[in-house]
Amino acid sequence: MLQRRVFAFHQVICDNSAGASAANMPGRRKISAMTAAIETVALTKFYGESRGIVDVSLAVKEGEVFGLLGPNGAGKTTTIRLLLDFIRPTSGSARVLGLDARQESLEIRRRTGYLPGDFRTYRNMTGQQIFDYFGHLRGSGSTKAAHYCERLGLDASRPFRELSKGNRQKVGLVQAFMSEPPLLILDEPTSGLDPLVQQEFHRMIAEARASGRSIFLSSHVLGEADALCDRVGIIRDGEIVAVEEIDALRARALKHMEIQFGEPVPAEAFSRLDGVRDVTVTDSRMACNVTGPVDAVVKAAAKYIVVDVTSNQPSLEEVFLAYYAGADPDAE
Amino acid sequence: MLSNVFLKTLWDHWRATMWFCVGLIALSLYTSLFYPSISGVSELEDFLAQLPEALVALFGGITDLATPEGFFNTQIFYFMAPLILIVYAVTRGATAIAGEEANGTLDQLLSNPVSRTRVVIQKAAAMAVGVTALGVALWAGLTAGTFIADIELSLVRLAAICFSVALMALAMGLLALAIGASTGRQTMSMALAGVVAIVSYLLHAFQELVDFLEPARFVSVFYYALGNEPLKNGLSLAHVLILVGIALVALTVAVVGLERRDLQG
Repeated sequence: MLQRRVFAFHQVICDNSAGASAANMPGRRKISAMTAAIETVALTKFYGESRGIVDVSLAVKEGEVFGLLGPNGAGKTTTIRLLLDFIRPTSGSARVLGLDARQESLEIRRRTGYLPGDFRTYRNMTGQQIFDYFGHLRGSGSTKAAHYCERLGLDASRPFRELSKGNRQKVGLVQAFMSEPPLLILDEPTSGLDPLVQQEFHRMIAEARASGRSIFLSSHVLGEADALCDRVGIIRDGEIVAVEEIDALRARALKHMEIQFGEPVPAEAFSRLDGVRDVTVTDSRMACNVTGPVDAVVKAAAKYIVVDVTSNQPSLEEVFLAYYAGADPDAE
Repeated sequence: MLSNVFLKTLWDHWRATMWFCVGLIALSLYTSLFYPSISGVSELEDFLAQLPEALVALFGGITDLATPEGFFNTQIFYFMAPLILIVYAVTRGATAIAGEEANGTLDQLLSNPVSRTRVVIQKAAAMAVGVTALGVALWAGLTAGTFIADIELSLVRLAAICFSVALMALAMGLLALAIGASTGRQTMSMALAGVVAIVSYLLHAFQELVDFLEPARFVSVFYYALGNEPLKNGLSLAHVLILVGIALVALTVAVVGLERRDLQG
């Protein structure tokens, strides 16, 4: 409470004072450094001999929804637990909301809502008691909890031990959202939720994003990232293999196209086009895979009578498989 | 009751604490009411005088059942009360951090803006309150017993020995907390603190009997709790300070141990 007031005080002072003197104040540095919601530099964690993550460098912009994607065991949870100072890096560093993850963890946690991958809490407490307890510890109170309980359809008066997996996950989501913090860190947020509740969760994420909050979530379900994220980082065996805009990722991916013609067509009409491969023609039906724009295929097809065109949006599973091509098939 | 870690911990354990207190009061009353019938049996004294020394030592140095001090020392303070208070404190200490870790709740607790040090200290404070409640229950039960059975005993000295036993239990509980907080291993912290308590008890019980153990009594927490015979002589400041010192060192180890390590997810 006190710390927050001090921080607000700095903010007021800094906003009103001219450059030189304000630059020397600790509060000023914090604010001006706050360009990235999360920034890790060569973050590395080994548990003894075994690999956690290696040289993970990520920057999550303020106000974006960033998805960390990878199969179980790739290092998603390790990354998240390093950000919140539950574990300490072997090397490298991390800043969250402009604050050092090791030295200023308390202030980071004050401004971060967190849902762990395997949400477990005090079994004897009811949802409401958990919200009250954490609300007190956060200094935020739990007044907003009822709002989120209603949206997710959670009965907060029941003891945690009596709840189903899905309802337990809702308790986890409510406690992460209830203080409406500037940053949400959510580890596998939709696991155990039924589809209707997932939709409501997606709306909650959209609202949080619309109000300028940053969201860092991990998932091994690509459809989820597809629906929620602005950008994704793909992590494999502890290393980041790609960071992409979700649109770019999709655009670069292979699209499957099928065209039904009103007359037989020669395969050569399509097989030499840029970005087109795997052309198969059976009588008057042509199927192919396309990377990038489908413009050339459409223009080539226009020379013939076109009955029907279908183009499948690539699922991120396919994109994902492309990144994992050659990886151990048992990695998932 | 849920406004901080300290109150929440008390809230978690109030039921267990209450039952321990009820048990101690029952034990105190039961034992007190026995005193008049035992102190009247003169043959018992002769019988005790004939027992092998080793057996006498093992059962808490039963040499004197005819005086209230000797009777309560043997029946309550040499074994039963320390056992009960130590079991309570060590359980609290082992579960405080390592228990939350085993249940997977520590990450969640620490995702709130509360420092590890604060969690350790507030949990230790809740343990101290619980142990104090047990000590007070013991004293209250015995006080009631002495009134009911019409036993002449200094209530101040009684308070002194209850305090002494409670302080020893707190030190053992903080030892369990220190091991649990430094390693995250609940069972091991309980076992190690238990071993220390048992060895302490045995060293204290046998030191008069086995000459070469006599110097070793200084490593026994039982010696610092009971060696001065608080029921007859009151508290020894030095002994109290040593127990307080052990407690503070254990608390420091707990704080530093938890602060330095990775939490188990």
